[in-house]
Amino acid sequence: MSNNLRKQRYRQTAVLLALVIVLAVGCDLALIIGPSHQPLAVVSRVLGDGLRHLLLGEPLPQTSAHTIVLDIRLPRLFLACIVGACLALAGAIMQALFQNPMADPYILGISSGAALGAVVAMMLGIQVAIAGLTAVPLLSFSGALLITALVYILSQRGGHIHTATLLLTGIALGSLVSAITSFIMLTGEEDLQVVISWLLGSISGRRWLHVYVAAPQLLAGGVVALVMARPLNVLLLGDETAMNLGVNVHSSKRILLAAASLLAAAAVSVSGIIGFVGLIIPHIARLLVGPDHRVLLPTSALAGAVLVVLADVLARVVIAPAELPIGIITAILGCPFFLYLLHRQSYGHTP
Amino acid sequence: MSQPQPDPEAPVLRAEGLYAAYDGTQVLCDVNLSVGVGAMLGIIGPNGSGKSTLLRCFAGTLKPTAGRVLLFDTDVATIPVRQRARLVAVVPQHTTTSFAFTVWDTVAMGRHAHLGLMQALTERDIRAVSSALEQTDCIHLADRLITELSGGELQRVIIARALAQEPQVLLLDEPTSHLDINHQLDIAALLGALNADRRLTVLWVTHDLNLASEFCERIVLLSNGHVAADGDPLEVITQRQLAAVYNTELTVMTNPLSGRPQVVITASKNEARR
Repeated sequence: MSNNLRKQRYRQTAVLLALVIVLAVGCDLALIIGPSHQPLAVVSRVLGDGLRHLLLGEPLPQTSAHTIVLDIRLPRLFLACIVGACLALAGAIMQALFQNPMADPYILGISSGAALGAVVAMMLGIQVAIAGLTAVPLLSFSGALLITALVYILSQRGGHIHTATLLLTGIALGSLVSAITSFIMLTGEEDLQVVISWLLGSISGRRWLHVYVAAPQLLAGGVVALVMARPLNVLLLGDETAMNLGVNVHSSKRILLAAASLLAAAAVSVSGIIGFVGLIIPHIARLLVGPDHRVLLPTSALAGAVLVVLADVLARVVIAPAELPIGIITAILGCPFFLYLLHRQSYGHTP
Repeated sequence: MSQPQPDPEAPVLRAEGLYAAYDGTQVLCDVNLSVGVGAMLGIIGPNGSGKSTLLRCFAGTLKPTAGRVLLFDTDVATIPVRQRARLVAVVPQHTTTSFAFTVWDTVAMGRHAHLGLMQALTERDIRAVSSALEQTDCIHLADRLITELSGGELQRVIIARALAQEPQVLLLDEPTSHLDINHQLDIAALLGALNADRRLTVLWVTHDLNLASEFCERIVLLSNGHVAADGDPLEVITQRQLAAVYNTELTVMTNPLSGRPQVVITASKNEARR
């Protein structure tokens, strides 16, 4: 291995390590900061208690600190990590599959489908619940996958999928579904602020249940993404070249689309539509570690988690005691950093 | 042209009654062709005569509408893509370099068909990549990003990626079309060497009649999806045949150094065009 290649590997390792450290610090902050400040010492003690309760079955002391850290902030923190990782992974996969830097996790109608589901649930006051999950996550998840499946089916031509058709069908169907959503919102009588705050994305008030639902989906989607990382690299060269290099182009694309859709739907169903993470994080990761998806995907997942965790901390602080929708923060944090990187470094895309 | 003829009994590639079409437009009509081991075959013909289409059929990426392509006596359509990529490598006409992979990583993608999904490069793979880089004189480029290469360097890297597949057959679609004369000769000489040293079967689509005449042992002239001529350069590069197929006045002379036919153009002969 030559010096430069070695340097590249060092750099990738350094970036991953740095992200882990930043994430660890962000996690501490997320447990400490909030409407009631919990000092680091208290947080560590409570986490220790929680761990002993989990592993050794020791009873948990019933203090307010325990409730705040273990029942409110910890699930919220886990969820922030999961949502960030899901969105960043889905975004990275979509950008590669569509060979389009503007692609994001919502490109196949995930967001419009989820929004329709959520708005129907909220405005029509639908009261269903499965295993404790309320109508909003259930209907937004179903809406997201339903619209994505419809986009996918409508773009089939002779058993093959063409990414350009897929992209345009996603846009067309997305606008139609958004129009329906707007219609329901305007004719409904509910308070629109709740709806709008969901549409901007928030993980406020989420519980362990949401973590249990979203985590397996991240695990499944993440494993598929990592296994398919090398074919994804080859797919960047175009369908025909990928085929000539021995990639099963159509089945690989199907698997990757399904994984990305699942990841995005999982994130949207528990957190609403958090923008920018899935668009910007893969770009930032690419600038930091290069285009190889075997490194890019884990880096994206970590960086996505970092961004959403930090954004969630800020969302609690900025207009305390009220909370900002997290999507506003991710846009404000992500955009300048992205522009900075774009101008500082020569980017992997030729103009 | 007293080269030892490849064994006609053992064709590497064979087109049998091949028809191909895009969206209903017929591109190839009843093409029959047999290519022996170690052949160095040039495919020439006017724009739209079906050269690239024929190559895509040979590569197995385009399904013929009728007839079939046999690769080592097996219908290429029935060979799984991974296995096919270990037998046939393709150097495409255009290479997009929108992602900043290093030259090493790019050439290593040629090993995809030899690797399991999660498998890292083995010693053998690394040797294949290094050897491909050496054969194409690209080893000094290994650390560079493909987005930073010149046209000639990029084309050599793409050929290296094809060689890393360790194929039996190399298909190239106009590999010299956007290169200057120095790099054209460079690539042509490289193909000649690969063919001579490794007995690699090379099928090479080109618009450069003179390059084909100098470097190929056999030339196939396509016209409107038919094989108009097939033979050694002396048989194919003739004034009469080229004038008919290309619908152009041109002169064929003999290269005094190689004894091979060379096409010469003059402005005066084509004054009628104005």
